[in-house]
Amino acid sequence: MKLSTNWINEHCKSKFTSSELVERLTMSGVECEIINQKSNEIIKFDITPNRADCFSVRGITNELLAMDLIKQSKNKFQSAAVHHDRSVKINVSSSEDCPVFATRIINNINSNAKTPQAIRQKLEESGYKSINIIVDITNYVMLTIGQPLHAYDLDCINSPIVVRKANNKESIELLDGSSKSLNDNFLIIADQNKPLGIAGIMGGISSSITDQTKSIVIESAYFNPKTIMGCPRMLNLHSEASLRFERGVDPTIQIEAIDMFTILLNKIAGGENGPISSKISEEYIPINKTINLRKNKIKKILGITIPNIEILSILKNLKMDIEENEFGYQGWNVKAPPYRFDINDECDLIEEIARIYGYNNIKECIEDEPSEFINESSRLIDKNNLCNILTGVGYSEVINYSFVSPIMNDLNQNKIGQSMDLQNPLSIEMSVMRNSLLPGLINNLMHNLKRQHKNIRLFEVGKIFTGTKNKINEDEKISGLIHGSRNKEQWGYSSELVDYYDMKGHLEILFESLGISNYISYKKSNHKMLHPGKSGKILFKNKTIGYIGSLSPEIIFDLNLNSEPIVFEIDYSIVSERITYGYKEQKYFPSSRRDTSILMSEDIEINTVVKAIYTLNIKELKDVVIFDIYDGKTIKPEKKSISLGLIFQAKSRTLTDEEIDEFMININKHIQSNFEIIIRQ
Amino acid sequence: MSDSLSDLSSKSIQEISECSNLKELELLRVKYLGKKGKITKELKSLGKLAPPERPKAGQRINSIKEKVQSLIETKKLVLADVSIQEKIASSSIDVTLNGRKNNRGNIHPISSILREIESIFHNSGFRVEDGPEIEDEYHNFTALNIPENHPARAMHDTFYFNTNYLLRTHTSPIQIRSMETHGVPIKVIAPGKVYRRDSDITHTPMFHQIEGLVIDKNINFTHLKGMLHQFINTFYKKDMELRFRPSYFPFTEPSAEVDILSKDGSWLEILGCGMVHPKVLENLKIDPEIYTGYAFGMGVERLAMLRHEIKDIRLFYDNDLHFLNQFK
Repeated sequence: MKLSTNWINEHCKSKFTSSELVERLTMSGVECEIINQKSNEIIKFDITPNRADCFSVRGITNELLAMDLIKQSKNKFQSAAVHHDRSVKINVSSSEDCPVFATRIINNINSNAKTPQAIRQKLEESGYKSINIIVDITNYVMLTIGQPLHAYDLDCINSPIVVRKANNKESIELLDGSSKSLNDNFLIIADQNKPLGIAGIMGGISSSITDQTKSIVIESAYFNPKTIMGCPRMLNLHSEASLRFERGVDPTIQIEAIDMFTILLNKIAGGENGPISSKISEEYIPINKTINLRKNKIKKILGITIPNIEILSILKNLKMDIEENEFGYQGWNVKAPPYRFDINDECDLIEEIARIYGYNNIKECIEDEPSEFINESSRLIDKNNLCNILTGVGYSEVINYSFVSPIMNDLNQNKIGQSMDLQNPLSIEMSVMRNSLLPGLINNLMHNLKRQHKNIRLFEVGKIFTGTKNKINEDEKISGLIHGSRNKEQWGYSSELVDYYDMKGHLEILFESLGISNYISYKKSNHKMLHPGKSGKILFKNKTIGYIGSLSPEIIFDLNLNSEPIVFEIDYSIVSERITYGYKEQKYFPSSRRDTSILMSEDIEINTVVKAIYTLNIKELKDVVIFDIYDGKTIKPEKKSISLGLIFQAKSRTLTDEEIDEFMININKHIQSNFEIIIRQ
Repeated sequence: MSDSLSDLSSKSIQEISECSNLKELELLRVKYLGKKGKITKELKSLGKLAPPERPKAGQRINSIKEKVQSLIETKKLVLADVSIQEKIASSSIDVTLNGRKNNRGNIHPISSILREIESIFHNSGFRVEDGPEIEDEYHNFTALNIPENHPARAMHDTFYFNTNYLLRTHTSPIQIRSMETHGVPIKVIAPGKVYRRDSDITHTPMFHQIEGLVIDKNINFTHLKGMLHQFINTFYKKDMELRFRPSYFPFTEPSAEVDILSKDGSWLEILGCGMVHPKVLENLKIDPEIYTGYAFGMGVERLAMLRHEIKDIRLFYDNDLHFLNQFK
């Protein structure tokens, strides 16, 4: 809602500057700002959904009264003259939805009369285009006192006017040119043949005011907010009327609004007025209940003691009915004025007192509880550790949207669950919940390659989503992607492309830092997104926690990449599997190393050989280093030669050469009998 | 004998003095003083002499040995120095040349602000709670006093899966879940992703919030103000001027927005807060006559945009390395 500062000042006979108004209203909870429009200053209001009463000049004036910035002025309530006794028959079939429905017939209007400049300017400053004198005055009354009105061309109505629920076959063409199909969720105003409008939202085109209109029926109603709520959203049609009816219009001003309209209209465009014909169902007009406001509850919630006299003055300025309880020692019985739909409980009153008293007049305190020592959060330690390791080896963190295009989800194998599809996505590219972080990382790779970045390393921590019959699964994952050269281009390093083992090394650093390396193993496996020969699954204590490998050649071909990205995706929960080993006292005795070269078939996994060596349980074998792998020209193509360095060290003495020779004999014998290999000395 | 000894002495002295490098000097040491060296040999041959001649000859040989030893030591020092000087003179590098390195990666700016805030609250005794991103209608709206069709729901443009499941529009449902799990008293914060159907220069359909909740027997509005002011001072690492102004959230009452005073003198909204609405407590079977509490929530992107003076929120989700690499 927009109102000019002039209009507000004119209405409450004051001389506030725009910034004074904005400052004071903002601090009472009516969010607003100055927008300059030509010479006059306009204030734009952003009214919260609880404050239906603020949608008019009168509502804003009430706020100024509440803050005691202006004095109450008695608005003289005037009735318009009545010139004839014609009225339209009203039939409200659903009184609960429409407790007040008032109409008046006005004949012989000069619909060519020009809207006076004073009204026109105010409307324009509030963002309303001047349409014709009748519509302009309905808007003017609405902006002044908050009551939406609707005028029908009398000649287009086949009376009686009926207020009823629509039926499922009806539809209506509206003033804005749109056509809506209706159903029994909607309350409509209709005549004998057709719907005339959707109650509280918008009128129909068939009975609208035109330049030829001579006689009108003006309608002023109070609709139950519950009836209107949700309808604008269902129709995707939010009007100035629905904005107000949905939140609640003062149920006591319908007659006043018709009279105000009539008097203004008569003054400008003449017309002969009929009597007001209304249907009022008192039993459905909401009455604010009396609330017991306790003094000690105010203290309990706000933490301060506000003097009784101040509380009373605030409540009076808010036009509340007040009755003292035990002379105010206990508190008060309070009833809010009919336009305050938001005051139903004691806490609502406490908020009213607090906001008018001023939040900034309430002191600040620190809770007086005994202070506790708190150890560093393990959640943060885990996250920091992960991030430090990955950023340390060059990965930058990205955050992608959790929704992706269905094509991206199809890239990933996902046979366990069905995809979680949004009913109302912003676009097809953001329509399903991701079932892997990898497609997002691939997108980021492509984006950054286009921006001429090289040697890209990215990681993301986030959830993936799958649905099964009775359950929605949200699993947190860590994913990474590397692409390009192992080292950034510089002197002293040759440029070699990253491969599987670079990324595996990064993960090994992570697992070592968690102390879980001994429980991690890798197995060749198939993953739809990965190269079948260059990928594997990662196991922790023999349970699969994720995958690592080169991206599949099909995807690389589709993306037109000239080198393989390597990716991984593992369960985030692994970061909390940290194992801490206590300190063990150790004496130092020198270690000895023996190297051995083994010729073996290409398809033997080197680690199975290393593992076999460890199964001998030689306590003194401290470490096995794979220091060379050769599959070059001098050996047969299906063979590879590996060089192992075996490091021996005892805890309590220096080992003799003879002892180590014996270990080596055992080791060589053992692996030769278990694998088809040749030891090359 | 005597003559050969003086020859040995003068020859060794000459050779040592002419020696020009450490390697040669070591050869000379072996030649004269080694196991099979000339002087050693002479010493060994002493036994062949008649006993009365031995002491004199022994004395002589030993004095030659000592002399040779000391000459070698002295020469060694001289030559070592020469060799160090030579090394220094012959080797020099371009100290301005770039070092060999690989780049370090960066943490996403949203992550680092989240972690910073989490850590501030953790240090003040708040437990950190998580919740599902796909929420049900009850936890996201109903339990928070936002009934169906209430205009407040229009404040949250919601992504739906079906009539019951949706993407959470705020982190507030975690309040409900943690009260369900832990009961009261409670002191938690809940960071996480939230989703609203909105996309422009200041809105992305996914963003991050941090929610806080404190409920106990004697919590009131002054505590809310005190705690948030302390938090804001800690976050900005200086005393900040701020204002609390009335606002509306269905699940708090009184409700407030907190603004900070910016450098240019304007007020910037940074978080929403309020006293927990009694209906929310009643929904969880907590007696609002005994327990009271406060809740607050803030948008992480907004804090990051203010801190780094970023104008367009969408940059956070482009994941362009030119952008990400600026947050070292």
